[in-house]
Amino acid sequence: MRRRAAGLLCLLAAVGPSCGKVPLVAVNAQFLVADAAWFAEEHTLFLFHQVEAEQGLGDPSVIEITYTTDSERVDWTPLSDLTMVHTHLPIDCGTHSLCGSASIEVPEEPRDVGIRLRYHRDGELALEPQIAFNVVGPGPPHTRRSLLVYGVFNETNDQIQWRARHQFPTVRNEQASELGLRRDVWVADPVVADNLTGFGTNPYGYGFDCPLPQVPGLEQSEVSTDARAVFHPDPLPAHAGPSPYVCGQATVTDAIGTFTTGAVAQKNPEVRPAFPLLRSTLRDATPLPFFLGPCDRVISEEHEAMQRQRLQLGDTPTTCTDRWDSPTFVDELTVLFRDAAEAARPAGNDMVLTIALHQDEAGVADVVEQALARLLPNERHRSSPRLAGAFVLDSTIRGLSREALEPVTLWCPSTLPIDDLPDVSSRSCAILPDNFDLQLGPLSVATLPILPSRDQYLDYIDTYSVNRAGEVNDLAYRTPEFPTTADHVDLGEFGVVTFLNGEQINATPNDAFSYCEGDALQPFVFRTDLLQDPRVLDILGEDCTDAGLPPEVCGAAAFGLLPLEFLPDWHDAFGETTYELGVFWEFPFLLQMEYQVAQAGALTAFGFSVPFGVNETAEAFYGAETWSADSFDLSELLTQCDRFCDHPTFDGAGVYHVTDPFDVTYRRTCYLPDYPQPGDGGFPLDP
Amino acid sequence: MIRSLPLLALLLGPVALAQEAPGDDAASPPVDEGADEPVRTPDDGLQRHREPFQLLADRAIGTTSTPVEFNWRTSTVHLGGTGTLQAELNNFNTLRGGGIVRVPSTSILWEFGLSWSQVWDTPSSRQLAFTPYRQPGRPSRIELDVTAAVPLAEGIVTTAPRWLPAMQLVFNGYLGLRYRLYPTGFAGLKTGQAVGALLSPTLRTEELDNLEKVRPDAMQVDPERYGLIFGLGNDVYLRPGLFVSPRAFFSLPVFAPASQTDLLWWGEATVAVGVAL
Repeated sequence: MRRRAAGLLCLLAAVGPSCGKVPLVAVNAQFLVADAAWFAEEHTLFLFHQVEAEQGLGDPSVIEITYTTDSERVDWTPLSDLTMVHTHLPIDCGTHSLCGSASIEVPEEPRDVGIRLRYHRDGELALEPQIAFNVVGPGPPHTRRSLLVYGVFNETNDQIQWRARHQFPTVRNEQASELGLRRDVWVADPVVADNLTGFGTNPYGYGFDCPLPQVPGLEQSEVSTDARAVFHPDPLPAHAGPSPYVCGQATVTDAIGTFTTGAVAQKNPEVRPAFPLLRSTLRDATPLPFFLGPCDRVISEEHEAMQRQRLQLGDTPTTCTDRWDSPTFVDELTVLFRDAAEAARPAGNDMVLTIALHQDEAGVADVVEQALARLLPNERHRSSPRLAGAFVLDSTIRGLSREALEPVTLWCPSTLPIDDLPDVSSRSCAILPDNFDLQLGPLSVATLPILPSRDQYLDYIDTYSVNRAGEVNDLAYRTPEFPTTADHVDLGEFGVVTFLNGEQINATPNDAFSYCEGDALQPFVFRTDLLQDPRVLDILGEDCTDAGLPPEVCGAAAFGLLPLEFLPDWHDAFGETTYELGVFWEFPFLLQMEYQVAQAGALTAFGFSVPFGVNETAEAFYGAETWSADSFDLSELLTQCDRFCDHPTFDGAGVYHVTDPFDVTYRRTCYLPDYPQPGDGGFPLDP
Repeated sequence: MIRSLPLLALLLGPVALAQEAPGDDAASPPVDEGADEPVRTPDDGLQRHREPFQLLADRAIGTTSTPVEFNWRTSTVHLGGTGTLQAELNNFNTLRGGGIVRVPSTSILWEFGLSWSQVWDTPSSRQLAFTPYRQPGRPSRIELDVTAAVPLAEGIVTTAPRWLPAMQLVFNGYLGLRYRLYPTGFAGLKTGQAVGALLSPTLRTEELDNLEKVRPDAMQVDPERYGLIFGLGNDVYLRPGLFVSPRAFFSLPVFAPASQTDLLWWGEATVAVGVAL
């Protein structure tokens, strides 16, 4: 019984405090905005307020203001009891907030300006914040008035949108709109203007003296709005096209009456792709097949079959290499290759030597290299049809040993060099020296590269069978068709720059360019007359490395070539009129291979292996991927402005950056403007 | 009544034994005072369950005498109206009126209620509205109740003045679920949102925003949507089936951690008047 009584007492002790009256909760109201500004030119006191509270503020809550001038004292008065100079919309800021704006006629400079929240219109308690009060004295309209007017154009520069912009010391343009302030604006008598100055200190040109109406005039009607923007319904006449500005008479209201002054609309920079499409006609090159191997003995039938299958040689007769150490063998091989090329040349296609090298003696590969070296480098810069290069499938993991062949020969399989930068052949043909082979007890899993060495191949098929070794389905060589006018600039180890067909960009010194920098290195360069001047080349050679530019850029600069990304700055500095466009490439052809590769496995027990696997279709590219497309889209990479280039313009979000002219801002920045257009609404993004 | 007494004696025997006082000589087995252990008779096992007939009759007299005035268990349904004075322990006035439907069963009376709760200011809350403080409360609303009434005691009672007939009195314990619907709360909500809100123990932000427009000025809207209540009360039945049912309810704030309510231990007094059919 005592235990039950004790438990009941504990329960009462726990519950008892909760049984009391429901407590009161503070609303925790606070002003987020309590700003005021008096404009002497307008005799108007503007107030902006935003109050938030945790528990919500109801209709009984009121905002009151007070101020004192030399001739009157206005005691705390609800804003709703005062007469407004401008339109102030009721704003729904949410159930936990009160916000809005006010404009009161105050002819004399006020002082002791205060704003407060009275919690209930019939109560005495109020919350009075620290107010941010500014006085804007008399002065020019673009700095001393609460609203300025300016114009912008649509994308085609033939339709004006007149805009109003609030300018208060502590409240931003869009915030003033959000707090309900609306201003009546109308613009009349627009005229074209060619020479307006003074934008440096007055970037919007508000308050400019507009020239007298010209004949023929624009004959456009007056437009008005109480929003922040309105499009003029009529497009400009054609004769207004060359004029960079349109100037109109903008009228706004204030406590005194109306105020009219000049407002300027600056045309957008006229920008187009500098060179929209750089075409490089690609052709399928003709493979010249060869199978080089001993005729007097057999090295490995399985390996030979694999090499023939991989290079799609079929029944190509074997070119005997039994006499490879003969002093005349290189000459004979060279003649053989040359004869094959000359026989195929009349067909008009570029050619690629496709060679399977079936050998097991040191020295055979070197002999083949010697023969290729006599033939291929000489054809490198010829116009089509030409012998573009060679693709060699060797029997061992060796790679190229002659630098002269590196820009024109794929020698597979290969390994990546440890000390040097890998050439295209090494990068394309590199494989691991050993097969990937995973042993899990009796289960083994392995893969074989599609272009393996003989040892790798034989070792693999010994466990997993020939059927799991993969096969090549298609082999194609794509080469660019170099016209007879193509001009090649050999950059040595870096590659070649080819000016394909006289592609050039023409500009006037007043033009401006914009280069859209991306992550990928673009293979385009330019050259000019000035860049070919030896004195300039000397300066470039001396200063390039000091400027921290990469070696390949400095290497190209030594030949009078610069990457395309430098063109905007070069033109701004020297204003040349012709820029030749070239394509940089490292390798003369692209080998495109479609093949099937097997993820093979084998289960071994009691001395027997049962292979299994899954075949997958894959595609590989060897050589230069520059030639994977027969045209290069430069439309967004390099844009050219040829008129109004020093005017401000829009960014990708549609914001008008009045202090950022195109010619300075967008040299190394992508220019993707979002222009206004009729139907956008009256409240553009204008922070 | 007579026929049911032996059956009741059998059913209530073990219960009576559990409530038996240790010093009840009538139910104790005979003890040999000269020995250490009592002398066991052959039917000692049943002796523990034996009860005097008079005691059993006293205990069952209320239940078994129900047919004398009005047997509510045999009625099909009860219809009635209710009036409630709610005391939420804050500064707002609340009165409630509505209707109930009661469905009897053998041991439980199920009640389904629909009421309108009207809330308005008091002089105190009007004064509170002038200050930067608010007090939790609930605006006017619809309340749905599902309540189980468990008869705890019942019997026939005589009345004063004496010219009134004898009445059947049932003393009930109540346990119920109260669900609140605010008519303007769902304004602007999509159908999916509204359906989802119905099951939530708290009001959604959108509902709270809607209720800001209808709440008394000094009120902070309490977010609880439904909760448990318990109570005690009497059902007084007259012979034709009329009944009067005064009862007191209290909140049982077991959902408070989920509903985030500030109104924990409120109470109310209700009178229901109706007819059993």
